[in-house]
Amino acid sequence: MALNWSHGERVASLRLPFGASSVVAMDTLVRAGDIVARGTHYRATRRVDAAKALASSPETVRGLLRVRVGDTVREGAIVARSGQRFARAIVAAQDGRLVHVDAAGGVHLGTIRGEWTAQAPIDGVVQRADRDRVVIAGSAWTLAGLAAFGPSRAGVLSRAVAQPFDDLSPSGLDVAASGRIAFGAGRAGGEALTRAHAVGVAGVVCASISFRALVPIYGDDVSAFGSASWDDAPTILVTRAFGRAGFDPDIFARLAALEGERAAIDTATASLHVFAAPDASEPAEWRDIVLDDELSGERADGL
Amino acid sequence: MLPLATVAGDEESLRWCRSLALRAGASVVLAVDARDGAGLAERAAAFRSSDPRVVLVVGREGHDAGALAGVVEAARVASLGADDAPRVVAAGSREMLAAVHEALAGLPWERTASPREDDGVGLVRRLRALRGQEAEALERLERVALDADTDDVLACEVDDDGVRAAFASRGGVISAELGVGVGRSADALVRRAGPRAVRRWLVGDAVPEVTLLRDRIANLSRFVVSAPRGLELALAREALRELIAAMRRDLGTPGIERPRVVLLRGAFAQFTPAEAVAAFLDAAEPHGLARVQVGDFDAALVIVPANQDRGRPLRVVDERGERALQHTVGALGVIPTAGRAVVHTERDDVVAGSPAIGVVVDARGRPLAIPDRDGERQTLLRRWAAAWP
Repeated sequence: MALNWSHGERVASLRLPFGASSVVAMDTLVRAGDIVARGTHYRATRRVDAAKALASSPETVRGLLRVRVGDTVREGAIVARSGQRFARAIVAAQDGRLVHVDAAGGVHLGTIRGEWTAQAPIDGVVQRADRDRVVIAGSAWTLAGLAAFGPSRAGVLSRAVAQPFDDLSPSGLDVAASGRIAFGAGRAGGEALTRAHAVGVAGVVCASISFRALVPIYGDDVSAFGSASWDDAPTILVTRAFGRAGFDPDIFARLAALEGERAAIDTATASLHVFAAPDASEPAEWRDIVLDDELSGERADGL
Repeated sequence: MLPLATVAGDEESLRWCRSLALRAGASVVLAVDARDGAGLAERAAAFRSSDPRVVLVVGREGHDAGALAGVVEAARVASLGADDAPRVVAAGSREMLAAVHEALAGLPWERTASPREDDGVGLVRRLRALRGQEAEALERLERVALDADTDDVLACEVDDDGVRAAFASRGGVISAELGVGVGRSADALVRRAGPRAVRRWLVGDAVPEVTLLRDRIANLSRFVVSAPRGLELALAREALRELIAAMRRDLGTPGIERPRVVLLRGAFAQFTPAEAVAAFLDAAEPHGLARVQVGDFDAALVIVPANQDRGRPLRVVDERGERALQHTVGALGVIPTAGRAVVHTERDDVVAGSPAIGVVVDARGRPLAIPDRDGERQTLLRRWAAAWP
C-alpha cells in the first residue's frame, strides 16, 4: 500500500451527530481544534399532543410555540400557549430541549444526557455548515495513515521517541506533553495510550498498535478500518500495520523537522494534517510494507 | 453490502425483516422494534449514527400504524439537510402505508407488496436491485444451484466479499448472503462471531492468543495478502457456520439440513478436496447422505448416520466390489473408493458419484461438541484431522 506525505488543498467533511444546536457560520476562517458545532445527546423524549392540549389544529401548533425548535427549556417554562382569557398552555415538566414538532401537531421534548462538540480537523474556510455536516477547505501537509480511532483532535507536533522503532513509553509521558500530538513511535501499548490521554496528549501517531491495546479502550467491536467517534476517548493514528511495525525513517525525519508546528489528527480520513508552509518539507512516499508470514506485523527485516 | 435499517412493530414482521435482509444480502445496521417505547430523539440519534441507505418498514394488518410512522418520522428528522437521505421501502396494509407516507414528508420512498402475499420475493428483488452489481454473485450462485441435475442442492461460496449459500429444491431456490468471509471481510467476521469462534478451529503448536489473532486478521483485511492456510480454513469454516445458522434461524428452509448434493465454490475451491469437505462438515453439520462437489469435481460421498441408524450396516459398491462399512459412534472416518461408487443404507437411501477422496462417514453427532479448553480442543481437532487422507 503506497501512503503519501504531501502538501495540498484538503477538504474535511464533518458529519455531525444528531441534535446539533449551533453550527459555525459559512465562510468563517477556522483553525484546527476550533469548535465548529455544538449539540445535545438526549436521554429520553416525550411527545405531547400539542394540538389536543391547546385545542387547535395541527397546522397552527408551530405558531403557538413560545420557544423555537432546538431551544433549551427550563422546568416550568411555557412551551406553547393558546387562547386569551381561558388560556391553555404546555408547560415543560423538566429541563430539556424542544426537539421536534411533528405533522400531527405533537411536540417532542427531550431531556439532556450530555453535550457534544465538533472540532475543526483542519485550518481553513467553512464551505458548508448546517445540521447535517460542516465542510472546511484549507491547505496542509498531510500524512495518510492506515486507521484512526477516537475523536479528531488538534495540537502541537511533538516527537514522542528518539528512534522510529522505539515503543511509546508510558513513563516518558507527563503533563508537559499536554496538548501535543506525539508522533514517531513504532508501537503504542494500551498503558501508554491511556496515560497519554490522561495527561492531556491530544493524539498519538504511531506505526502500529495491537488489538490487545485497542479492545480494552475502544471495545470488542473495534474495527481494523478504524472508528471515528465523538466520545472522550484517546485519539490515535496508526500508520503502518496492526501488531508491530516501525515508523518509516524518511517520514519520521520529515515530521521531526516540523516539530513545534500545529497539527491535527482527522480520524474520519485517518490522516495527520500539519499546518506548515508549502516549502517547509518535501513530499515522500512510504516504503512498501512487507508483512511476516503469520501476518502478525511488519517483517523484522523490512524495518 | 447495502446498509439497511429495519422497522417493524410485531414479532412476525420482525422475522420477515431478518429474513428479507438475509435473502437480499443486506447488512442490517439498525433493527428497530416500534414497540420499544423509545422517543423520537433517541431513535433519530440511532438512525443518524448507523447511517442506513435503505429503511425497510414491514407492517401487519390490524397493528398500530402510528408506532411505525413515528419511527419513520425519526428517520426523517435524522436526515434533515442531508444530501444522501435514506430511501424508505414500505410493505404492509393500506392504513399503515398511508400513515408512513404522511410521516415521510419528502423522504424518497416506495411501497411494495406485503411479503406475506408473495413470500417476500418482490421485496428481496427490490432490495437486491438497490444493492446493484454486488448482488450478482448471489444470483449467480442461485443459478448454479438450480442448474444442478437433481433436487435438494446446496451451493456454498465464500470469498473476500462475504459468504453465500443457495438451496434449490423442487424447481425453487432460496439463498442468503452475509458480508463476512475471508480476506478483507474477515474483520467483519470476527466482529460478528468473535475472535474465539475463529480461533477454535486453529490447530497447531502456536495458536495465537485472541487479541493477537485479531492483529493478524486486521492485517489480512487491510492488505492484499494471502492468509496462512490454517487461518483461511478457520475463517471459511466460521463464515459458513454463521450463514447456515442464520438461514436455519431466520429462513426456516425445510430440507437445508439434508442436502443431497453440495457444491462448494469460491475459496473452498482453492483448498484441497479433503480440506474443503472437512470445512463444510464442521460448518454446516449436515444430516443424511450427500455428494459433495468442490469446484467441478466430485470430492466425497458423505454419510451422517442418524441416531436410529447406529449399528445398522452401510454398504458401498465401487469398482472393487461391494463392501460393508462399519462406523464408530463419535468418530469421523474416510473410506477410499475406486471409480464410481454407490453407497446404500439400511433404509435404501442411496448416494452415488466418483469421489476423489472416497466415502466420508461423519458419526460425530449433532451438534458438534467442541471443547472450550485449548488442550482438549486441540486433541479432538487433531483426531478429526488425522482421519483425512
